[in-house]
Amino acid sequence: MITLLTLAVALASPAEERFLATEVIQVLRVPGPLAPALDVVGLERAPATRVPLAPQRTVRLHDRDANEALDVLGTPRTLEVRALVDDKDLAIVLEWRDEAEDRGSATETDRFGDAAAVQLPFAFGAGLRLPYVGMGDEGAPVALHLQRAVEHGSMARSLVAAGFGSSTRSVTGAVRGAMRYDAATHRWRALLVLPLVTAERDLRAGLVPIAFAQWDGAGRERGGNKALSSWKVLRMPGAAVDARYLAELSWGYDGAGDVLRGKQLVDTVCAACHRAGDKRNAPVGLAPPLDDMGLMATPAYLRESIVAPSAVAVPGKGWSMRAADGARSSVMPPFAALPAADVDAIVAYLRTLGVPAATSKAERSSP
Amino acid sequence: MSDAPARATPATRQLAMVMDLNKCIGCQTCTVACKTQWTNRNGREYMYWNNVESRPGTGYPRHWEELGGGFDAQGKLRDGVVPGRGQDYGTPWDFNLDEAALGKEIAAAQATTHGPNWDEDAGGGEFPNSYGFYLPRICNHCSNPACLAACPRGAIFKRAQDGVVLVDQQRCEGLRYCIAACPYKKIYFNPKIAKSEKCIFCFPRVEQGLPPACAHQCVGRIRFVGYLDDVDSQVHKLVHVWKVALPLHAEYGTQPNVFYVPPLPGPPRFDKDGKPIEGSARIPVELLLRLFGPEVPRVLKTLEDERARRRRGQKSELLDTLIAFSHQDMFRIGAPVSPGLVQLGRRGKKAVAEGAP
Repeated sequence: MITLLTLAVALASPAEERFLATEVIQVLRVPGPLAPALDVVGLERAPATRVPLAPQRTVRLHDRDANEALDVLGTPRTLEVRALVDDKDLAIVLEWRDEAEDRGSATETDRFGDAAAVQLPFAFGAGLRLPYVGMGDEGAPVALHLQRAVEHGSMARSLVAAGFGSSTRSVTGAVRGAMRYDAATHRWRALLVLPLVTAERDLRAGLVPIAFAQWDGAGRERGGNKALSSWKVLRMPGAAVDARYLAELSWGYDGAGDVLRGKQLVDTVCAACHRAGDKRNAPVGLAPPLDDMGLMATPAYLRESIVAPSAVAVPGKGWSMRAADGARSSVMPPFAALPAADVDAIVAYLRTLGVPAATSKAERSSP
Repeated sequence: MSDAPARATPATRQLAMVMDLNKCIGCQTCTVACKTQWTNRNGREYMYWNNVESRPGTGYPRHWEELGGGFDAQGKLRDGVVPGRGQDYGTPWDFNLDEAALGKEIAAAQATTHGPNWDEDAGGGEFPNSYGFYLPRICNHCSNPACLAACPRGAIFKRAQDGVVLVDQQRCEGLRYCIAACPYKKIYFNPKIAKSEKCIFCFPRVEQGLPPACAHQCVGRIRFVGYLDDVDSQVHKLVHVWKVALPLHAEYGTQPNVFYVPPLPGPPRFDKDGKPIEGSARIPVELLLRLFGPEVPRVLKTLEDERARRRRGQKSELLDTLIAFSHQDMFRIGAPVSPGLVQLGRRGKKAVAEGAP
């Protein structure tokens, strides 16, 4: 595994090098079988990756208490992710700090359980763009696997989704899992064991996209009130890295864009509709806020959103329309005519939004 | 991939209810009819799909009018709150009946916080000018349901054939945004099965040609049920012809389909010498305006005028309708789904024969 990665890095472009250093979760091969037990054999040998999560503010939900809590709890959060694989299954171990243990209730109406989930695309690889990070999109469905703390123990749920509001329970790729709260350290550990191969998807590849979400029950978080990561990539041991896919995934990670120029463009053009950073003149709800894009969106997604927004329009929230032929078009016009350097600049600036100055350095420099 | 239903399917017809508040005696027979039919089991025990609250009063759940939800003037959803079972809905309690039987003063056997009939007959005003009335409430089966708009899963739908608003129990994930969004707080979370549930307008009864249990059992005969577009239904006449039935809190923007004949403001107030004050009324009209909107004075005048006609010995179809001499005429629901099942009597059979409504 190390050899393969080293090889990949040795041949990598600066963008690929940076991508591999910041966005990749190394998966540890273990003999198995992987049991759905929280103390996974070999866990201590699996490298931990810190994944930042940002509160979901693109789609506003309407629980007053949850929205008020979001402003308090909404600071960037961190999941510590470890992954192991045997011949059949992939085990994901998620750990995070949470001051209070919140569990769902079988008798109360206003209790919400702490939870965490992983999201995997159905199809991925060279030539295939990543699904929209918030529940996929019409052209790119996702599978979601969730663990939520309930009154006694935890509950597993598998869903498929192809856009906001479309998630549907699924039995395929059903997870096995568990959750445990350590009151001494105020930390949750959640385990999800997923089959490598199901009828819809095959995770036996060098690079497997994955995204994460986490809910804090104390803030009445559930459904879309959550914190989520951008797409990360599992580096699976024993499978070759597709150089073309690596090049596509790592687009924009070289930081070539001029951040100051990007801010200037965002403030003068994008900010007419989007709230972004310190430029907050646009009416709430006119367009998705761009505040946490540095934590939630990949450079390639941001570029596509600018030059071909209809290709990545989020269905269902009034930001896109469906033509008679069924094609979905974003209410945002395409900015395909922008010079490449300007697109790079906008992407570079958006990538700084939501990233805390102090931690961003640490997050990005530690492999 | 997605089985999300199309949520914007417009209802082609709307089944509606009119409640005449001048006749409600607060007996809770409707509440019990609903509870025994639907909510006495399986995690619904705390729910009252039908409740009767006293006005003035805190309502059920407690201060529900202050819990947000509905739409703002621009038609956007307003944020709302998910009530808590104990403090907001209230948990049923026992009384010390065994001790009371031996002469002790009657009291609640447990500490109480709130309940569905919390204000009972408290009312408002100082004796001898006390006043109060009852406000029975079910789901309004709105034409623009906030619960439906707020559900991120597309789990709530409005039936095309009668406008009844229902929760698709297969799609509901128990996220409770509907509960925050309903300004009437008439959709409930069942914690036992982790799904939302609500008044279903007794649709299985409606499909057999029967009115909802709350309406059928109402001893005061205050509830009329029919299609708003059925010109022969008393509901249609009360809402659209005589225009004496008003929606509750229309300003919430959900276009409710339960309508209320507001209570007449009552007998005149007494002055300090115990003499009636000419032209005064016990119930402050502001209270009625707050609940039923600016049309209230016009409706009250219509009712008073009709009463005056009747006192003069003239005919009033409106008053005859509100008095409800014929119970079966209050309900015009249509043909049962399966012929041969209980029908609605003369009018119901006629409707079947004519294939309408």
